[in-house]
Amino acid sequence: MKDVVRIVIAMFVWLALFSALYGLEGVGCAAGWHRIPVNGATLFQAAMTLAFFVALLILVAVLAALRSPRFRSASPFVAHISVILAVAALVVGVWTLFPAVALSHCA
Amino acid sequence: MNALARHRALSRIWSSEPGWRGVISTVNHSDIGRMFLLVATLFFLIGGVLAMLIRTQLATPRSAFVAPAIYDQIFTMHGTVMMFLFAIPLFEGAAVYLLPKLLGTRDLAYPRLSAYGFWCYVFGGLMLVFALLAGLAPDSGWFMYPPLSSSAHSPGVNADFWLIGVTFVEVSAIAAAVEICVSILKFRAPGMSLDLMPIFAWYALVTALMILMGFPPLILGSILLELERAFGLPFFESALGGSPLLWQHLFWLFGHPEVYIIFLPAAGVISTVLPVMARTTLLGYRWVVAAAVALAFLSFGLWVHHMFATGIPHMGLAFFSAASTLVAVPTGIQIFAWLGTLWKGQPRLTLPMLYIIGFFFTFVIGGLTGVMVAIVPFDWQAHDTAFVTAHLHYVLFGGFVFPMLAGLYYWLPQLTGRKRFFRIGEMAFWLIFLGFNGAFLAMHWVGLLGQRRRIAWYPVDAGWTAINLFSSISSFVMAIGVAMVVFDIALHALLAIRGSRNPWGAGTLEWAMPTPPAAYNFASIPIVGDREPLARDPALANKIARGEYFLGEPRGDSRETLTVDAASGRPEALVIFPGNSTLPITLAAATGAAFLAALIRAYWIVPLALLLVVGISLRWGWSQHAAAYHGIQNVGRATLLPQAIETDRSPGWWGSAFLLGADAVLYGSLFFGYAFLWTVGPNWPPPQWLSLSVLELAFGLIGAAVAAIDLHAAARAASRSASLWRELLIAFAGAAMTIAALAMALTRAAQLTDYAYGATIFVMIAYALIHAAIAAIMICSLAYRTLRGGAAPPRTSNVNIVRLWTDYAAFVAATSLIATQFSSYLT
Repeated sequence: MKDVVRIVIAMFVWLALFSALYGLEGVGCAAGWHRIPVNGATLFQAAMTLAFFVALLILVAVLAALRSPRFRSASPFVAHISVILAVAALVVGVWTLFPAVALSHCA
Repeated sequence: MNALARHRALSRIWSSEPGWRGVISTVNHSDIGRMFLLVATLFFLIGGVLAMLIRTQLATPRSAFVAPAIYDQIFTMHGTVMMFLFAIPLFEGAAVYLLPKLLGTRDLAYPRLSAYGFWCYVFGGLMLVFALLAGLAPDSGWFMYPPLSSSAHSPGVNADFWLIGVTFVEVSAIAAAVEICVSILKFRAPGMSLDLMPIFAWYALVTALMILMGFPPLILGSILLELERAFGLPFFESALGGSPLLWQHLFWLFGHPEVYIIFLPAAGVISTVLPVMARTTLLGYRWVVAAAVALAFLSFGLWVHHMFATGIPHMGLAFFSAASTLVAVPTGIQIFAWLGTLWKGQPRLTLPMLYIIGFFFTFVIGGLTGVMVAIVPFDWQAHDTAFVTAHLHYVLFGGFVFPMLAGLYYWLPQLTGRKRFFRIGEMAFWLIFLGFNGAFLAMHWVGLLGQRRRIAWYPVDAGWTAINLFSSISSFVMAIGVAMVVFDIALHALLAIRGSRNPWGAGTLEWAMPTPPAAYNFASIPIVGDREPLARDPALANKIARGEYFLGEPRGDSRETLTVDAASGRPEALVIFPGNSTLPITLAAATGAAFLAALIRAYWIVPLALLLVVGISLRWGWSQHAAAYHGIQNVGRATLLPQAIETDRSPGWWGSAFLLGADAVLYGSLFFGYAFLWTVGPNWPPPQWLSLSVLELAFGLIGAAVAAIDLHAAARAASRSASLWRELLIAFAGAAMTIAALAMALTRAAQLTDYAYGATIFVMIAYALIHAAIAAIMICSLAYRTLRGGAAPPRTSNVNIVRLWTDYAAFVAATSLIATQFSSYLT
């Protein structure tokens, strides 16, 4: 069953991060973070940008873990698919979460 | 024992009872699968008739064919029937029938659960059909948006039929999904490692996991909306702190994955049938598996793209627009893998292949218009127009019905053992293909001209008349094609001549048996060393029949099969299945009585029906427990295995784990709703908070911890064959403390339910209370087994299952109490 977890984990982490950033946007807008200035930007922009990079870091860590001897599957098939999906999760993360950096406002 | 004697012995053991009693008591997957397929087809025909009524109404402007109120019921029921009573059950039927045969085993993991799910589907479907015939059908659209579906705007029971009937049918989907997951992971032929699984099994596994993640939000939404309609708990009422947008989130958290839940099994059919028709193997098996998994997850990140027109902030729109465009990538990988397979093979233009070509044409168009509506500015223009209706039909009809018709004609010889003789199918294909494209290409056009969805009539001078008339005529051409398919299948089943065993020259295991298949599937359970074992060893079918593999010697009346290690396919345990039983239909009837009582608002019957459900469930579990001990058994080929029920992780444990996974998604959705109303919902904060009660909190948390810890101790004691009494007694005391604490909290929360905040915490605490009660009942059941067990105490697997449920109940109780008791401090 661990091999099944290896296959789904990267995309699952992406989905969790995607939902978390969407939730953070809701919380930030509701709490008025976009009206709090922070070094020429707003608290909302700072929080979303930070969250974007933390999310990418986590996805890179998942990819690295799935490639490491400790977590890599003994099955070449599972190892291959899990790495494909971890790379996919990273690319999907960059593409879908990029609005957090580019559109940091509550309009 | 020769092959014929083996066949007779196994047939006696595995067959259903003769006559009508066989229909209601069968638990055999082939029977249940066929019944699922038949009933789903009937619902497809009902949905099709409703579609024809819609097209008749729209054929001319200002049509007087039906009144708007009836028209509302017709289009609502068309969507509801097609999505909930046709598409998902047809997948379930196909999976239930095919998977054991593809995987090289004798039945699914829980034969009685298959039957229970089927009867829930039938009873739930009948409720909706009754509503339709009685003129009480739901009429708020298949997505039932409040406030239109709220009691203020939809008085009467129409909407209740949807909320309760569909939820009842979803019980069936969850049951099937649990069954499919465990069956694929644990019930395969020895040697069938993950990389050797038939591609359809991968798709079915991904789809089943999606059902477990996708359906609970809708079940929760339906429960909340029914609570609002029946008792006035205002989850979706803005003036009282609720939000109609919460329904849209819960609905589309289900609704968008639903599209892929429908498409992925069809893609599995394409991936199975197309290589056989091209006389080669699937190109890029690993990439196709990865694409299916990626598509499943991406589909859960798209739900807001159905809500682009609701005023969501631009960043949110951008998140979901980006995710929506990405879906084209894994879909494209699969399309190119199929095209590559055709390129490397030697395709033959058979009837299944015609439907696959039809699929390519229509689904690619549907995919491209999908990318169009994923772009926010375009979606704002096309939203709620006939363009979207056309797009979704290209995706769903093109992406599901065409492949399923390909699958139908591909597996028909396996199902009937007959050779296709009549050539009506080819003509039917062309009528369906041309009719479909005529009907829905035109609908794109009229949508772009501004025709809205769900309108009963349109003005004469709108300029849409000719297009609508063409669309309606085309849809009738398509309907004639569908009727010809039904006629063709009926002729085939009744009149066609006997065919050969493997007419397509396929390599998968469902063709390594006599057709129509015997009730036991495989006379001996084969060893698999290739993705297409029959292609590798053409004599495999004869070797299986001669009993050369596992479990080739029938013993007594036992329905035996094997479980394997999920990754490697190494044999792990012997499973003895229960025989034919009327318990599933009885339990489904009792479940249906609870739903029906809620529908007619005879609430005093609901607890009685639920008590009946609990009683029958306990009887179900005990009848399993009553099976004789077998110990270590010889399963053939000099292999000794324990009985699955005597292992730590029995099939029941795995089923519980997957079911609790779905349950956790429902609980997570409830938390999402709580957080959503808190942050985004209007008219928040509430006028009054639930005050902190240290007594409730302490009682609840300590009780939950005690119950969970002592069940762990009981599991350790069971593994040593020691007495469990002390542990079970303490665990029950812990569960009782938690129940008392939650009951006290529920009483206080009930006083706040005239506002969305109070209603939400009421449901959270009630959810925890129900789970604590389930854990307490299971602990009592375990104690009863201990009492009756004598020399045979409850098996470790029984204790581990109860431990799993108790752990979950403890987690839910703790988190619910903390989230509700401290809410006033979070403002």
